[in-house]
Amino acid sequence: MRRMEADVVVIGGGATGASVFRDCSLRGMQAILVERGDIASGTTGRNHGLLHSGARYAVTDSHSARECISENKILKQIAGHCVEATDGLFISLPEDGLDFQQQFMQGCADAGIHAQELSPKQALQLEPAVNPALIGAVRIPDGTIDPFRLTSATILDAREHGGALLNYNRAEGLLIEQGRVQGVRCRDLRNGEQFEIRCQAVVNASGAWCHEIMEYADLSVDMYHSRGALLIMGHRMNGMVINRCRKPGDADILVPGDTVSVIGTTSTHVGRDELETLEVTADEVKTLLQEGSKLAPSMLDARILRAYCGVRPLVAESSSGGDRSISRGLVAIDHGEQDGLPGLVTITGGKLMTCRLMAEVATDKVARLLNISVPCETASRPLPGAHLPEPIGRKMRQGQSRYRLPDSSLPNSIAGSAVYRHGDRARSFMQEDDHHNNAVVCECEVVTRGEILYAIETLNARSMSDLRRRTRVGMGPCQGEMCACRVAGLLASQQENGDEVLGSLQDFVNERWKGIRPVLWGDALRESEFSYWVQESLLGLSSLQPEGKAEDNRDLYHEL
Amino acid sequence: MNYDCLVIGGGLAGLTTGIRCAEAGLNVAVISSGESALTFSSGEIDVLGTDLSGRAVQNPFTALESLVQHQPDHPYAHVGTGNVAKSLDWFQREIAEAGLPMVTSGGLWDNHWRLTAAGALRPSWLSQQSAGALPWGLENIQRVVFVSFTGFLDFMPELAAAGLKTHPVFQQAEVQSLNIELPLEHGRGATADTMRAPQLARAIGESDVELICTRLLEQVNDADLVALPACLSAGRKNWLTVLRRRTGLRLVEVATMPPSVPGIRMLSALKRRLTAVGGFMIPAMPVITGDVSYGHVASVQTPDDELHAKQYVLASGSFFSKGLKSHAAGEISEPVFGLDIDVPETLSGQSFLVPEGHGFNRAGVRVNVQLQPSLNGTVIENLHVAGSVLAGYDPVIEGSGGGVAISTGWMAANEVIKKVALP
Repeated sequence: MRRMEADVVVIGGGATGASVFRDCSLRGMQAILVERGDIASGTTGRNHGLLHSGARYAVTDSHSARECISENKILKQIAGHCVEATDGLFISLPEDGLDFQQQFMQGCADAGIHAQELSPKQALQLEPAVNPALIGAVRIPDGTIDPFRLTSATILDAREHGGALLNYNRAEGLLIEQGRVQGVRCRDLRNGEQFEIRCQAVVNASGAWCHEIMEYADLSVDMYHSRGALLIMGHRMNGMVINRCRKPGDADILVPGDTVSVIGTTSTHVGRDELETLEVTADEVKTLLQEGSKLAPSMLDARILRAYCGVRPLVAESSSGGDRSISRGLVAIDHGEQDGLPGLVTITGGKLMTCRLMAEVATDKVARLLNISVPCETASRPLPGAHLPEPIGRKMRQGQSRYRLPDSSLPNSIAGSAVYRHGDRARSFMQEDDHHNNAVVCECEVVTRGEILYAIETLNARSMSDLRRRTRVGMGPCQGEMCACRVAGLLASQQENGDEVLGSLQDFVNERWKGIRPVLWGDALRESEFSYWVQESLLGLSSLQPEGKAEDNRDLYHEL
Repeated sequence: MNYDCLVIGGGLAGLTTGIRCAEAGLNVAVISSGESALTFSSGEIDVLGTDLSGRAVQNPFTALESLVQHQPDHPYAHVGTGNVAKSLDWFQREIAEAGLPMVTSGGLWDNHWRLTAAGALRPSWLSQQSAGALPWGLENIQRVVFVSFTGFLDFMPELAAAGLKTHPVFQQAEVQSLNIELPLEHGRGATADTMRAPQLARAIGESDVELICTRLLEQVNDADLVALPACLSAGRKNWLTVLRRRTGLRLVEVATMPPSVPGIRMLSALKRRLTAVGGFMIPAMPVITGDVSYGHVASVQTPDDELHAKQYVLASGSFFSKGLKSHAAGEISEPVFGLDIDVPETLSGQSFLVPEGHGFNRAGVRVNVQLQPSLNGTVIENLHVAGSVLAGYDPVIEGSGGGVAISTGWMAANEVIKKVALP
């Protein structure tokens, strides 16, 4: 059996695992990240993409509120190209009254969140999409964050500091010898090969699935899996984040992001056996539209692009008390201290906003195990791509964007999108006068040939869906109907295994469909019929029978 | 203006009806709201590609008999199998008259294979000459090369080659890809990177063809089949014919990603034919509503005008063309007249690419054997329905879209002609 060596193995390629991977690498540890699917393919890729200011928790959970505003400021500094500092509104509707607004202003003040009370007229001027029936509004520093981009840039930084990413590799067991965890048994899911990684510490950052890794060591945790459903609207309806000024409830946040807007969420408990097969129900869609249209009434006339849901990896109160927890959200367990099994650290709970902080806490524990005293730098060191010339904040209203390629004559519609997604690293694949690589492959999201090839060569993208997560290809209004085959062609020109490319093309098309199906009416049905004619009648995709299709180790449910 | 017949919809079905009516001497107009779905089709006519068990069928006309026995509400059942053949025979003559001869493979009533840009093989019945119908038996084809032009994104030879390799017959065959970099004589400095197929077709000139010819002879001269993107036969000259003659190779054009040159060519030919036989085209004009009372259409309204005719034919297409509309509550309607419709119980399947297809493709307007629809149960005497707005068939899974559009369009015209001729 093949053997590898490392200081640390991180299990899980979501935002948290990626951040641990980066933190360990920056502190000089030799780290390997093992992820059974692609990066950001679990909970990370299935949330709102909201850069919380903490205001949402200002009244109900002041600890989380303070964590959020602190991380909010850090992410704006270190991940400028993954963030849009749009600011947000908390609006009060007639049915809400204004009582909560007073508590809310006080809560924000206590947590150190800058909150500015606005008149309804001022709010409407700032954000024309907002419900004109509003009776009050508060402006807070919410923003948007692209979880795929954040995870990808974080992993790129770790790899540039010596880390190794093994995506499509599953951790199948822990090597426990002499009473401590000494490594991980893995399987390469593309060829089935088993191998071992020997290491001094293992970080279990598998989020909603962390109980599975703990079971390899006969440990358990009382997870509370809370599922949230969201809808993506077909265009960007709002410039700012719009929240309801009341206690958190269903469908009370509308987040703009790139070219779309996202309304969510619902919150329902799911059993651990249901994690792989989540589908958005008709009732959830109804609730989201009904409540969401109270934030922005134009939602009822907008096209819905797709529906998706994710699972929050919450840890039940009973098992998160005591010193294991530094907050109600984040749960970090040193199993040496808690269970007498040194060498294993579990980090779970928390939220996308606190992924960097979670990683810092977990990496501190690992550093203690390895006797490493290098301090954490992740709060001050920019991610690859974040070296942008101007302060952040997309200037939507002024009609000008900061996302420009400096000293470039390329049209900003093309160069701006590349910078928007990859920051200053856009220069890696976008050169003046390179007509070939600057050709647009995906018109909806303005993804160029060069960007696709860069994602394959530099960002570990192996499949069509990987490319979607790295570049937004196929995420726009047409959901890949025109670009899927172009991208598959590019992938086929770079990869030996044509069957793998065809399999991933079929998977991509079927995966887009899962998100469309719950909202299959109006323009979504029109577009689907067109896609069906193109992909099935014109191209005949389903009649292709590639061999050795990549193992479907889980039924990937709805994704952004 | 009072027409003998007003055809709503300018796609394959509507144009078929228009041509047939005009030829019979009727005063006919075809009103069309926008580009037809033909512009992204393969430009071939399929009649029936698969049988009830999902297997590809070699003789569609025999398989039709069994289809209509099992599905009495299928549009082909209303038309009758004999009439399906008659209508297609008529269509083949008409399209040839329009300057676009279309061919079957060796056997007149047999299907052949159409090669797709993803390397799949789909059964088809009538091909444009540029597509070069592939005969049912494929065993003699042992070396296939997919050729494209560097930078062109809408036909990826690597993908097509990978796709064809998965076909059982081609697993032992040699399937390759080749990109040729073209100077593009008429490209005004632009490269193929930013071009769609129709632009590429216009950009290719004599010097490009020289280059293609040289490269083909140098690199693939022993290939049994060479597949190129469909942009050579529609330029300033039919370069495909030139290349076939000069190389002696079996060259076929494959429909690219939309917009598709052969699809557009078929649409233009049909429009030309309509005008040539005296029909009238009203382009870029949507029909908003129809005025129906006592089982009779009195008029239809456009945003500008009210139009009157003795007879009407609805060939407005499916959801994509807005001939059908679906609403949030799950109901489906026909938006012009509000006709009675049939909707399958399940609209969609779990996966997108499934052998059984999706219910939404079978939804549509319910008609009687004369292709007349009803409104709240009352038959509308002077309205007939044709093409993909009809219920009861799945054009994609059955591989029947072309045949149903033509045969129902033809039959609707015959019904109209009979009625207009009556005193």
